[in-house]
Amino acid sequence: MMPDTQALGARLPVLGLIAAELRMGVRAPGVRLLAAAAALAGWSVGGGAGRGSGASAYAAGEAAWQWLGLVTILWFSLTAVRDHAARTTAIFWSKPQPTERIVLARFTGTLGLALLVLVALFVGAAASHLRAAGSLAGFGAFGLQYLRAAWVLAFAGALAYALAMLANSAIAGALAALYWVLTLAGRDYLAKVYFAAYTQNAVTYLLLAGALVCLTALFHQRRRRGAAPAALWASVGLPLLLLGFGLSLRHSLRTEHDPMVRTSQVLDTMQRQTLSLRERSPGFTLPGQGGAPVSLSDYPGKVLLVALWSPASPDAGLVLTRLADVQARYGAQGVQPVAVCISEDQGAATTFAMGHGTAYPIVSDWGAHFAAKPADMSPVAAAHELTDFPTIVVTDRRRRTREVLSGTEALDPDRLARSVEARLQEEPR
Amino acid sequence: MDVRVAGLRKEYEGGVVGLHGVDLEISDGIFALLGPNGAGKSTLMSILATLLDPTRGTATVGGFDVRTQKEQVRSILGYLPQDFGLYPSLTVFETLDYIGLLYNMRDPAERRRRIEEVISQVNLTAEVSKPVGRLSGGMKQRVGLAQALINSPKLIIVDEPTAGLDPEERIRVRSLLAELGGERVILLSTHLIEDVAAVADRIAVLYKGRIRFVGTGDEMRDAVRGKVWEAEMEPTALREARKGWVETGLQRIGSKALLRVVAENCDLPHARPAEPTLDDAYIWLMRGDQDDA
Repeated sequence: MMPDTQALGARLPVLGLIAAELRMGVRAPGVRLLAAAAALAGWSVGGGAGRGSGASAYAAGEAAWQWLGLVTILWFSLTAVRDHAARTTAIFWSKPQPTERIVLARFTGTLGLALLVLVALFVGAAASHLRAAGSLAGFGAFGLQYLRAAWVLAFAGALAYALAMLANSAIAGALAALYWVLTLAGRDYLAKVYFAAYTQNAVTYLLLAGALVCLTALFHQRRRRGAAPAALWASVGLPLLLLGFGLSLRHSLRTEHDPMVRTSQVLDTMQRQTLSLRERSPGFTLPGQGGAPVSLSDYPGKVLLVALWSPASPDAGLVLTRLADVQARYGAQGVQPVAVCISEDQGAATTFAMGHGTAYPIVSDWGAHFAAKPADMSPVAAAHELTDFPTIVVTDRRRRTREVLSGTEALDPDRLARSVEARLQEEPR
Repeated sequence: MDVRVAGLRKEYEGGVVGLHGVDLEISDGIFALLGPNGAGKSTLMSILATLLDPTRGTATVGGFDVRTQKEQVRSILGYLPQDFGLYPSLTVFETLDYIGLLYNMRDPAERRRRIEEVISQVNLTAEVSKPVGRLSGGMKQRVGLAQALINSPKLIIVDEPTAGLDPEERIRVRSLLAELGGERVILLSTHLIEDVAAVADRIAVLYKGRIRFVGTGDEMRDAVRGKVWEAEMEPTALREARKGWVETGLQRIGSKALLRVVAENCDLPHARPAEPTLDDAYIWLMRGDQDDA
């Protein structure tokens, strides 16, 4: 149900304007068509038996920021200049409502519509998953990925809106689209700190989005104000948000930037390890799904199944299901799975963990970066000389590597069971 | 309530001058700006509507400066531009509700009351729930007028409100403007003299960014009194006779032609003085031999 323009407007004029924007958008056939297309897209990526809610939600999140991100850029670019196209400039801008408030209301209203379209996409994905899996266990993962996609769309929208409005041309929004294409196609060349879609960069890019909206509010048609001062929220918000963005970016550059592998002793030490049969398996200390550090040394005397997996792999959900099955069957006999998520997005592990309801640790390899070869993707991947996703390293109770299962072998439940049972036969306790 | 304009000049990029130091004082009533395309009417109206800044000079609306006190001016202004659009998916009511929000009308009950009033004023009660995109051109024009009235403005600017309308709608809009008089200024721009004759209390004639006349309709007619002539002649003599005169009309009367001209003196055969009309005065004021330097 749409918000009541009348009641909202009475409390705060900007809310009334936002509600009017929402009302207009919901009526627009283009928005309805987009919502239907989003639901279909969600349906097409959300299914797949045995993948778990995490994989379904993550696929929906990826589809959302990638293609809906581009649509959002186009949408906000057109919103920014719609008065020219609709010939409403003279009527609307001759009214006493401050420019800043109109700029904010249009941005927020359009963002609200984009988030409704996003809801359609996730509903489609969840319905598809429900049909395939017969249950929505781990539904929270959809919520996490929705939030992730939402802030990405907020940033994409703010960037396009600011560029198009300040340049007074929808074509200026193409610069935002160019950035998007770069993030989609140029991962080799763009350091991960510059990707708005990675969970660890959320704060940085939300601050930038806020700064862009303030900047637009202050400078779009600024002569329209006459001698009146600019709105306080925009005047104060712009420097504060820019400062926050600068500090956050600086922090990211120092802690998450790709060259970290050359400057961090921890990563360097992890990378210098090697994987050899009957030798001690490469160790690591990486943040688990709750954020607390997890090391292989936390599990002394256990038969370890160290699974290196990537959320980008179509089998990502399946390998986690296999590990859960192994833990359920052999956990009491001292078998411990540990999944290592090799992804530039440090929020992926949490989504999969929530979606699968895993009782074993899923750690996030924060040294990961995009590379053509799996072994070049992270220090842990390099130490394991990774060739394929997923790869499961099975150790004995003294953490010596006994078997390395890759690709379809790692997903074969019988193959996994044989390997685990062989270890248990050698060393029952 | 008054509008004062002093030495108003507007230069556009590229050196085109829209207004050359215009002076005007307008008080309550309907004030018509008359002039051909490019005379500067829309430029003057855009400046008064705070959409354009003048290059030089001052303009105040109800004592508020249009350059520095824009928000105050906008809050007492209702503006209907010549070429305007509205969001087609919104109904008439929602459009006016949105406009009410743009006017900072926070009280929903008050907004609804005003919307109902103006909808009744412009005779759109039956269309209130229709999307604007489905209305005829004349109805859209009336929605345009309604949006300019919703805040009970002290200054209403209407730029060519009857352009493109059929005769019935034109009369309807003109009647509405005539009804709106009172303690407010209605600034009406038009190039249709019949509009002016029907509703204007005072008239300013603009030509190439300069004021050529300010006064009432009678004063405008008086400006050419004694200069209007009619001469009846054979149609065959018409081509030769028309040369060199400021012609304001030509009628056929039976087999004869009746030529109407404005001139200080007229030596056409059978020429006789005629009662001046606003058309005569307007065309006389538009003649190109006046000093525009």
